[in-house]
Amino acid sequence: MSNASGKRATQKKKARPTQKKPVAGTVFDIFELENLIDLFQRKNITELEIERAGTRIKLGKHSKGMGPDTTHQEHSGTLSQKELSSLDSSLFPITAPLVGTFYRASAADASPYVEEGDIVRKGQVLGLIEAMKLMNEIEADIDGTVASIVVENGTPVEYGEPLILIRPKE
Amino acid sequence: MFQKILIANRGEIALRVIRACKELGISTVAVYSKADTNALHTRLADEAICIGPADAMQSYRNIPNIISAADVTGADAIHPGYGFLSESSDFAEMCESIGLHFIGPTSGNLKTLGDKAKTRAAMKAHGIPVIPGSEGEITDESSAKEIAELIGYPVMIKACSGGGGRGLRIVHKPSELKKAFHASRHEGVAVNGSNGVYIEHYISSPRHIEVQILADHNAHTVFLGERECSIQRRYQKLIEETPSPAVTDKLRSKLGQFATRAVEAVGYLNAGTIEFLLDQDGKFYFMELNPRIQVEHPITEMVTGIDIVKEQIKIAAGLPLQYQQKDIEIRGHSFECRITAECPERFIPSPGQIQQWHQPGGLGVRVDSGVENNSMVFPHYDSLIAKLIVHGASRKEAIAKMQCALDEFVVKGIKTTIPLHKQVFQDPDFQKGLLFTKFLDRFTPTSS
Repeated sequence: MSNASGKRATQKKKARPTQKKPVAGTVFDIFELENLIDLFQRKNITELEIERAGTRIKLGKHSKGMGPDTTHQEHSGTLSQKELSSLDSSLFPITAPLVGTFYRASAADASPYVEEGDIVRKGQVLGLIEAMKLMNEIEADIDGTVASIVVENGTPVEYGEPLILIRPKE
Repeated sequence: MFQKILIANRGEIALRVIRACKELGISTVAVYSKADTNALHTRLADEAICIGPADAMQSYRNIPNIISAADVTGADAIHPGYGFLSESSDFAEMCESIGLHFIGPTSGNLKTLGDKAKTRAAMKAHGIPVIPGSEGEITDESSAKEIAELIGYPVMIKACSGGGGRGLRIVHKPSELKKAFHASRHEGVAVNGSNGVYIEHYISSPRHIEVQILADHNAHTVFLGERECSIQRRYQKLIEETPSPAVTDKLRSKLGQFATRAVEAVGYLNAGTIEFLLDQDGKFYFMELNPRIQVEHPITEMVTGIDIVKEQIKIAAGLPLQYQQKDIEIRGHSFECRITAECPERFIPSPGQIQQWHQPGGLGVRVDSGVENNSMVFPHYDSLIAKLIVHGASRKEAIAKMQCALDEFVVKGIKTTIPLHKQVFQDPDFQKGLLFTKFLDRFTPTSS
């Protein structure tokens, strides 16, 4: 994903005589590299290029591309539909019937509708998806136990995204 | 300028819009149905979000899911492409009401233009020639009979809310009127519940000529030449070209004037296409104003050098048009072949998996396609899989280029209309530019 302005961040540094002596044969020393990598990972940029004395370092994050494996954006704290299929096939996924933001409780200060381990009945409200300021209740399709809560509170979800996994009642 | 655009479409037009956004430095969000999980457009965009199952009504026409997708991804504009929601005044209105920019005309434009009878009246009032016909909707049989007598047979009955060729019936004699009237009404109801029709004089062997316009917020309009779209089957276009072999410089200038007046007649904004029929006496008649980017826009881009999708985005962002009419130059000649996943003999859909795909290339050869090798072609959506566009210095050169390009195009695993396109380009009448809307009948069985 590109950064906010859609452009690459490029920086050029001039060599300074007072800098640490680089490791023999290299233009960037190991500490600089570590700092650079750390900075890059922490910040919301996808590409960084630095050139010094004819040596160029280029760091890149490739979350999307034309590659055959990437299909849709993966939010933190959610399962891709591919990952789900490799999971325990005895678990029943409750999937998002619409696009919106998933909430685990009816309000910010309320307790979540369900937790892992809770026994649930068909039709029981497990969570909400908010779409354009309207709340939609997400109900359990079957009786069972909550095996796993896949999506974190407040995360945007797409159609068909697994939200909660239920272990069906025997 | 927009930061992020959501493309509410699929296939080749989604790719087209995504590419224009990328060139403008705008982030892109693709939406897709379950069937399109591995589609090209989802991979080219910066983000992709699933909006529903395969059925278009629940995905690509699902207004709540699409608007919600724009909301959760933080998109500030939506490009609707063509088809799907591109002409939905409801959708445009909803976007407008929440501050989401709809890249296209205003919801008011869409409302007016969705009503054919109303549009006709507006055009007539602005001195644009229209085909003699009923002024306003006809909903009962006796009025239909009366009007038809007045206009003079043969007549064409059109459902007021039809489109893409639906709800059309030709009537040659009074005895055929009753059946045709009811059939047309029935089809109109199926499209969106409206059962009014309008009746107009039927022009036999017309040429279909359309004009591309761009209009900005200052009501500054330019027209980008005309397109000839006479090679059709059941009112679906197959091959388009620009400039039209039948349009002289004088006629072109007149067409441009009509087009500009048509824009003023409805206060139109953004890119649009005004369709005319040209009869055998050289007279033009207004048919429709299409309020969207059209499938065949690339041929206009090839001869003018103007990126129409980028212009749409810029206009929607409130930027003024950067050129005057005198800056528009038409250079060379361009053709487009619409390659569909259908049997070329009887146009039976041919969905399936593409086993081999090789598209042609080179100078003046452009392929706009949403599929590639191993792509699945589904029956859920329209059958257009690629547009093959060529540009040459002359019509003759462009024809030769298209013939070579069609020869080089390999698609295995599904049937396509490539063989039919080859036949057309070898036809002597076609090569002479003798085109009219029934041209294709010589290759395919006549359809009612």
